[in-house]
Amino acid sequence: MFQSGEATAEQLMLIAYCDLDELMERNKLQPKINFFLETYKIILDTLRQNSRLMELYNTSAEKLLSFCTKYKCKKEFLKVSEVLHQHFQHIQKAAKQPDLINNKIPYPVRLTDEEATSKLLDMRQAQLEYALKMDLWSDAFRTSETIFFLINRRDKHDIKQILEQFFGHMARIFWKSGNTLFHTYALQNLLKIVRQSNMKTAD
Amino acid sequence: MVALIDICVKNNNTVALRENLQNFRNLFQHASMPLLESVFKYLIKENNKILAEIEKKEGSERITLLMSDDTTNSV
Repeated sequence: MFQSGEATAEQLMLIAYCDLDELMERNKLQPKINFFLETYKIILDTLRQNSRLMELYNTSAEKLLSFCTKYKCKKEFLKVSEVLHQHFQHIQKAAKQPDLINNKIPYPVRLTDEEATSKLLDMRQAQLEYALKMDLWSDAFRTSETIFFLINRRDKHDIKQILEQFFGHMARIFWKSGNTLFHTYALQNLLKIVRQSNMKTAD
Repeated sequence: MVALIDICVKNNNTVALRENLQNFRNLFQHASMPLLESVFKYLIKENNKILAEIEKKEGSERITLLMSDDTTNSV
């Protein structure tokens, strides 16, 4: 692991007090996993403003989030989630200065574009589901704010299913945070949507 | 670009990968979007191969032990 004379006194003490095989294994495996994670982050950074390649962006983000969920790495999950939040903030900023972006980027992500909004919403819904699986409640709440923003930009007719899922998730978040009043309100909204859809089916 | 991706994957070099991917994007997002897409698809495929290889070789339990915040070991 270390060339002769390279190890410091602290490193030698560390080796003496821990399992050397374990340390060697970790040193072999860690760079590969780091490369895997870092590459996906690079893809996210590179494609964040391209509306034509949003599916690749979404695939990469979901792959990262599913990796973190599968291997229960909350710190990494929060980092990825923060990156996704920042990217969305950039899109919001760009929406306020359309002329500036139009000149530089050939296919920017526009919040006025229905297809782009739909893909953004799909990604954020998946992000919320993963955050709930990981029990990262504050991050889930932050993602739900983004989802609410995007829902408000969608056509009212085709968001019933999205709203059902959204209020179901909100009820869980508020229950966990001890906000029973908001929890009840979320469930009430969910009930209202379900009743409306049942009435329409009956008609 | 594909050859460069192969080299970066082989050497676990993310710095060169980031720089070159961004340059490549800046050049080709105006000229050829399908080419850009194919390069990113190739990178994703190669990256997934890395994880599949690790999972096959080490097993998911080993990765969980290494990555999980709940089971952070003394190393």
